[in-house]
Amino acid sequence: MVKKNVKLNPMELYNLLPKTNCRLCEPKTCMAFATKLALGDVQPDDCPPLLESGFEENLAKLRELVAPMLTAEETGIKLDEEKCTGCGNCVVVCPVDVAAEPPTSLGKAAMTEETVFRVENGISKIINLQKCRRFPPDRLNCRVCEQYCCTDAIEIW
Amino acid sequence: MKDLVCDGCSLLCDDVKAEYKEGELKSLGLCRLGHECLEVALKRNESKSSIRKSGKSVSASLDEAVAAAAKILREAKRPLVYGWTRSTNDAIKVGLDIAASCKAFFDTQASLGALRAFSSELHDMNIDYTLDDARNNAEVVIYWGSNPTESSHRHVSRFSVLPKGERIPEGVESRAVVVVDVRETETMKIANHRLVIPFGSDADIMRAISGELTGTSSIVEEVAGIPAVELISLTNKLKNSDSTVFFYGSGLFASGYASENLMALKELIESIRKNGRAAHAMPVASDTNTIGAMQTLNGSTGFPSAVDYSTGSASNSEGQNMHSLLLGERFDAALVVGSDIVATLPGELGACMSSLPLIYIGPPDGLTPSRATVFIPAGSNMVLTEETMLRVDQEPIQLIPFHKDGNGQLSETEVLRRLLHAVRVRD
Ligand code: SF4
Ligand code: SF4
Ligand code: SF4
Ligand code: SF4
Repeated sequence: MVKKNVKLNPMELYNLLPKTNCRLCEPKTCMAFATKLALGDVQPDDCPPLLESGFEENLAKLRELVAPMLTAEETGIKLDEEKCTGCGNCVVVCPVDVAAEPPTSLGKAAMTEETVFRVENGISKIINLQKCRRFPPDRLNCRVCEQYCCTDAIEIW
Repeated sequence: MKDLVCDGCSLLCDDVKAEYKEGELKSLGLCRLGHECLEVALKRNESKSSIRKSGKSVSASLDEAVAAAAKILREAKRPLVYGWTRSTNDAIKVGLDIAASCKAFFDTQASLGALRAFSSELHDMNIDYTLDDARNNAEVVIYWGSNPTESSHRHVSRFSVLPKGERIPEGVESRAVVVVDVRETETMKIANHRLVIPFGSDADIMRAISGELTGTSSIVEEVAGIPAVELISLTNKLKNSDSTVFFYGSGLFASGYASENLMALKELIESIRKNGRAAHAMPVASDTNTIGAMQTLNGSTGFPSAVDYSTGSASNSEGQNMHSLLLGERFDAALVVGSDIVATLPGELGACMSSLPLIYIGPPDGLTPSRATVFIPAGSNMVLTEETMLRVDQEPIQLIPFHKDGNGQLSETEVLRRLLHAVRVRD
């Protein structure tokens, strides 16, 4: 997990959480979640209720607070070409790709230079790493590509 | 970069591009298998025909090889004409003319698998659906006994799971994915329901779900080791899904339980429909033109497999199939097209086939070329032809010639035309 010498106040973070102790997150309670958030062990997006409507402002504020913990040097994506079958799952699920080249959202192969992933010579290549939403300015805890890569060729840290 | 159609598997992807310059291939969108198929086809050295003489394979000119092949076919009393699941519909039609001219028995490799499903009652009930229908509508996607991650790499991303569609606004978020198999598969990683079931329990599980759907029985305890809650939650998904599609694979129809499984799948689809919901099914096939081979044969002769020309016209007698005839040593020669049968036919069948005077037309790779009595190489369809194949959902897809000069090789169809001519012109 990503750590940096940024001191965050768990109470300040706690006040922005839904405070329902709904148990949907791995730490199970909001206080425990806030503590882990302050350590960089979880991300605001790991709290499902925060992603629902009504919490937009809190979510934005929380992301802003934890953002300094993630920098381009410390988060990364790796693609293991040996494992990749060129299935194109990463191309079609990556929100950046779908916005940059809309036909990919319909399952079409990526053809432009604009996407994060493009399948070239039978294997997916990361052609625009800097566009990935994990990096500044977005700094989101997105792992969609990793989640849908059936062969575990994509690794995110 | 040029547009191209990939014939690496039965998805026949037509949204891909490639360029071949100075011996280097660049492609966009082709999966690993597709890129490799194209690369092998383009980089292959020109290979020569060969004829086996007193146990030794010697190279021959195309004309010599065609003449030798025609002689074998003309002299045979009961030749077998076989293969075809990687050939174009156009090649298959010429193959049928050859079979008619030499009163042969014609069959395709589809008879070994997918055909069982197609000729069962399952496909009598209007279950056909296209892959585009699946992309646009399927809310519940069920891979039963099939593993697209291994066999049809782009199935999940191009059509069935990830893309958005007319009634699937959020792509994968708008669908539920179910994977049922006898072992854990890579595709299970993206499934909402993963059912690893004991071998042979498919039909029991399908019937339990059918009963729960129609209310004729209810799931109160585990079925074949799958917990009741899991099955009930899956049943509820089926009740609420406007459109469900089953992508069934060889795990379902190539096991010893094929008839029972296919019958249970039919009942399950009926049960979903009784709830007022749409349900469809199609196979996940490995060979490129498996479906085209069945449909072309059916369209031309009225029979999807095992067509006998021994009386001069096409017939199909009950219980006659290539397997039993081959094992019963009823053939005295064989023409095999496009399938590396020595490598792929089950042991005993392969041995029977190798003991016949064998003519092989196809790519020079694999084991069959070196075992054949007469071998005539044919170039890759994806490189050379603008002929047609059927995608796994029965949609006709026309190939695009990518590199017309190829490497001096003729297409399968062209070789077959020459053979047909030689068989017809008696000396
Ligand atoms: S998921 Fe969110 S709301 Fe629920 S306990 Fe965790 S932090 Fe609290
Ligand atoms: S999802 Fe994984 S296997 Fe598929 S193309 Fe992307 S990296 Fe390769
Ligand atoms: S982490 Fe998200 S934004 Fe980044 S490449 Fe993967 S899917 Fe795209
Ligand atoms: S999925 Fe099949 S047809 Fe599509 S590129 Fe791969 S091998 Fe070719």
